[in-house]
Amino acid sequence: MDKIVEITGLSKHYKGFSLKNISFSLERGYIMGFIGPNGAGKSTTIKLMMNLMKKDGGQIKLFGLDHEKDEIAVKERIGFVYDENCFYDELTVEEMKNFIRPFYRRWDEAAFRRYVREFGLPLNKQIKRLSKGMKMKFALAAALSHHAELLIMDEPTSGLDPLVRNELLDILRTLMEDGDKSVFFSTHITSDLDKIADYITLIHEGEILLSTTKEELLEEYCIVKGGKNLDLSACRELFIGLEESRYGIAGLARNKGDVIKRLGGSAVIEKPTLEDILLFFTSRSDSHVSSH
Amino acid sequence: MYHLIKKDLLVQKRALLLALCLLVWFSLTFSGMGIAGLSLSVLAVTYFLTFGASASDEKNRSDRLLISLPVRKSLIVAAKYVSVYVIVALTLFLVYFIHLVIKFLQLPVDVFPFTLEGAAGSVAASTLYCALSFPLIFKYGYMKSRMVNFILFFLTIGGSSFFLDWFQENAGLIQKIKEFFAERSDWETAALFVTPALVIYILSYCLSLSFYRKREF
Repeated sequence: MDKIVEITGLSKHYKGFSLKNISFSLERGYIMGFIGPNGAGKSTTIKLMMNLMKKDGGQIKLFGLDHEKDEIAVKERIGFVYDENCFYDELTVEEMKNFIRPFYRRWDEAAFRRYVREFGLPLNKQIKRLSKGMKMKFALAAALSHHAELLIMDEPTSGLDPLVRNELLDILRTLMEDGDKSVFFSTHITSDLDKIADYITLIHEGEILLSTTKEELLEEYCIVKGGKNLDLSACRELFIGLEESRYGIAGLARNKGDVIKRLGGSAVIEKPTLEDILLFFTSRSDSHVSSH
Repeated sequence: MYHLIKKDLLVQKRALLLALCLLVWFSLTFSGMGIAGLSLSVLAVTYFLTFGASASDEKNRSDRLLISLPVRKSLIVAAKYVSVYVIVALTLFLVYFIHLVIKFLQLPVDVFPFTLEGAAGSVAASTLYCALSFPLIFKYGYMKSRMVNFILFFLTIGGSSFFLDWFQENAGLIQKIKEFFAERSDWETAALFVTPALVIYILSYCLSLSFYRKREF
């Protein structure tokens, strides 16, 4: 398979945080959700991929090329959308586009005009006068107008209202139809990924806890619910996390088939959401469960 | 590089208008300073516009954008260094324009003279000042290095005034220097001034590039 992103043993240390030899990969034509709580290392990983930070060790290959040695060739093929605006507030949308355009050999002005129309972007409005959603759409239009093969998005939906978030997800869904593009989407709003992600990589305290297809993840894990007197001794080792409340017990367990076999009909077994997986994996000591 | 320099001017459309007003004011208030008035005015406006562009980069967190684009860091740094001369040229043109307008309208005001020596002094002062301050900006960013750069700016002005006074007090030395240059061809004289300035500027560029390559955003 054609690996678009290949990260091996990546490490980075700075005061109060370490990225510890993380490894994962993404194939062409898929969306990878990169999830984890705030401060888990999502933005650090993206900054390392984009050369905004220097790695201490490991390897980052994008399109099979080294991200430092082949920096320009790699960046020609990447589109980026960051969590915060990094465009010049003082410039209009048109001026900003005119600044970005000459750096890309494959810039497609007709495609940009099409996205401007589709997204309703006001060309003569200053960037500072755009809403957060509009700024994100402009970043997306710029990213797509040079035919990027990989979209790197760092928390693109944070701070957006549900309507705009949904619009972005629709755009990404349409974008993926040709099967040629890949998206690396970091977020802590996991409901976005429930709708569009093919792969999920979970990072916590600088370590990758899991990296697999969303299907496998949702098939492999299950939410177990039962009354306070539910006996879990037969399968306690399968639990990632447990939460006890005055109403009963709820927990996330691996090996769904095994859990069903061992508990029989004594518990309610449900399909987890990505939020359940994120919460139970990242807060093992005082686990939570989302409302179903 | 052209687009990086053009961007530095575009983000400062309002500042350019303010720079024009400043130059009108400087032309009138520095009129008693002779050719130093021209050098000082150009240096002040170059400081204002060059660091205005850096302030805009920092305010908008645009280094993240620049580094994410397919453009080499060496080009980003080089564009800043070249932009100084674009700004100096633009400022000199504006001063010349102001002087032309004053002359054309026959306004009853005194302005400092627009001479080749004054223009050369502007280039030299701006080169020296930016060579000193840019490495700090590329290492620490505009905000963190602002105070040090502000001090450097006044040291450059103070240093220039000190040397001008010192030269005036040492007329004998000036005579010797004049004689020395009188014996040289124009090319030799130009080379004697340009070479050290170029060496300082290139060293400063290398230092800035090294800092920028290591900087994390």
